Amino acid sequence: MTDRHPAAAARRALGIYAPLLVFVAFALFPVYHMFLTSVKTDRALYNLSLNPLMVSLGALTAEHYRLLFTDTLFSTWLMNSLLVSLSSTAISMVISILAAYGLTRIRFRGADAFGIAIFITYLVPYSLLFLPLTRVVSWLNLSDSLWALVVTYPTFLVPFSTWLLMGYMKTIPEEIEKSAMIDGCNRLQILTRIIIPLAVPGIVCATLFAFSLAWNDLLYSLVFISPTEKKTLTVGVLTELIRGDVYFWGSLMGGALIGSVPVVVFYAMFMDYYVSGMTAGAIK
Amino acid sequence: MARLVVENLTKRFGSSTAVDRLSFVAEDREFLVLIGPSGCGKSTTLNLIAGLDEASAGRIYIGERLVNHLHPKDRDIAMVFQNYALYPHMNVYANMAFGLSMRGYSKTEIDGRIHEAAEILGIGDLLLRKPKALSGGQRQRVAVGRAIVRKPAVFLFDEPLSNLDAKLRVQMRAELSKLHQRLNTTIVYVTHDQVEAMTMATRIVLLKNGVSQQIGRPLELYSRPVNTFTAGFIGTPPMNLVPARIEEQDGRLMVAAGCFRLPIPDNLSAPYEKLKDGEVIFGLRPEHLRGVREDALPAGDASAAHLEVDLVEMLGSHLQLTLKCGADRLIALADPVLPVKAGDWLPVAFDMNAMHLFAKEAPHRRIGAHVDSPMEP
Repeated sequence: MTDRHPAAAARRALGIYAPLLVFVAFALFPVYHMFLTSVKTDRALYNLSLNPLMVSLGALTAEHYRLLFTDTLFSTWLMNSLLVSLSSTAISMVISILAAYGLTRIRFRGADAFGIAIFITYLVPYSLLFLPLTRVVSWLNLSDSLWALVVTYPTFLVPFSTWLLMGYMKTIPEEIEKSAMIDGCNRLQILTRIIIPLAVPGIVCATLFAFSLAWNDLLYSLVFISPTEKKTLTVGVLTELIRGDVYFWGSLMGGALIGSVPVVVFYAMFMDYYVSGMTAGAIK
Repeated sequence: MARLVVENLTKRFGSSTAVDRLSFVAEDREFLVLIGPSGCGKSTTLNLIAGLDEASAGRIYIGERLVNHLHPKDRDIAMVFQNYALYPHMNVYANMAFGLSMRGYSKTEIDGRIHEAAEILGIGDLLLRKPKALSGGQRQRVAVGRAIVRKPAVFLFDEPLSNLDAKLRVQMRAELSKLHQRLNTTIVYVTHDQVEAMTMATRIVLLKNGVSQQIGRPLELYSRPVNTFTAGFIGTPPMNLVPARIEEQDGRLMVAAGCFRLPIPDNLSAPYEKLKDGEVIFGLRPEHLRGVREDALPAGDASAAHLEVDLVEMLGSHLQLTLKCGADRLIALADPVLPVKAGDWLPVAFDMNAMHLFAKEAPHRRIGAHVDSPMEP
């Protein structure tokens, strides 16, 4: 529309892009600051007269990253986080898919009530739930083991995923399943050959969300695990890089930055699915 | 033999009964239509026959086998749904192959059947497309194709044309009729559209609130309806039904309604003798009421009355007139060139040879109806 006044177009652009720019700056500022902090020398960091948002070329260093990878068990923590997040997400997704299908399609007595109950368990503050869960974990002899996390993470991953998938599965027309039944499928085949392929956006969305919840968890991994080599990324960076009152800022920020990368990468890869999964309904 | 027998079929949902002791037979190669207003239980009945729902009571036989406890896939049926129910993530070929591959047919057999069906339905060049790349009519054909390749004993259709636009519906109606002739199979077809029922059915089962009202050939339901519900449901525009009294005048029986008083033809009056001075419901189809010019009243057994015109609708081939009759309205037809407008008083010729009388009390049975009609009292 190269119409009328270039002034009007400019005003419209300003009205749209200026607020967006502000928001993007606000959202990305922490990342920028983290990155900057992780490559500045300690001298530059502790020099309060310097502008914290800028760095001179002479003050760049890779020392903090070196420390991270050689003097701490950072790579182990990274592996632990990855292991725990992937397995707990996988377990939760299997449970959620089966639960969502059962609750939406199989008309058993109390199905509706059960669905609501599942969502309500999600509302129980997870920061309080760790108290009774500590007892469960020790009863299962899983204290100080990564399995403690794999077992407890589903308590907050499953309710949300189930609720999301229930909403998504309700948009799949029932006639398709009736047709499949007449074609000779049993329930499990309907689930695997018809429902899951059609629910892929919802499943991807739920998986991404579950993974990021598991990856970002601090409280449970802090409470259930003490040995350094078993810590996850969040706990390791927090506890090992703050010794007494000494903050290894550079490494802290470096560790946090690296820790953010996997989730960002996954979201970027599956962005389209995520959006369509959230705005469920665009299948037919 | 692909004969479908339904015996005292009942389905209850909690305290409400959707299907009430329904019994009918679809003979081999018959095109049986289940029809009725919304909520009459026709789709529920179809689901029970298919096995998608379990009956509360009654028996269903497909080809001499009792199928009540059989899974849908073992009943040798195929179903076509109102919204096609194609698998969106598979192309047309895969959609049609799905049921056959689930049953373990060989690839060559599947391929052969699909191409055969595609040729019959004219969808041969759509086989690699996904459903979302097809029009409504094409999707419907694929859904029918998916049923054909199964070569079932009984085809079940659940309002398959309801989602199509009017023109396409007319076209598909003809195609389905021809398909039935070509495939020579038993079809049970559910619809709420009585035009579809009249044009396609060998026999019709008319349902109301889960109870069958009348079962018979389309023309039987049309010209010998068993009650006012059937009379008013089959045929469009619907039969005129007005309350009336039977009176005697000079030895002849007369029908006296709010706006006319006409004699019953002598050759018809025998069954109505006992109704003298009684109240009834008088029924006459719109095509048997003709609005005419004053000087063109037909001779013979037609009687005439002068009625006030309420509405004139031009349909091209004829006029449809709505006439005032006391508190009721009558619908009559007329030549398209008849000079008439709303508010005129028009002579209307009644072809009393085609009249029906129905009982005033529910269920308003037709007086003189055959004893063996299956309607419940």
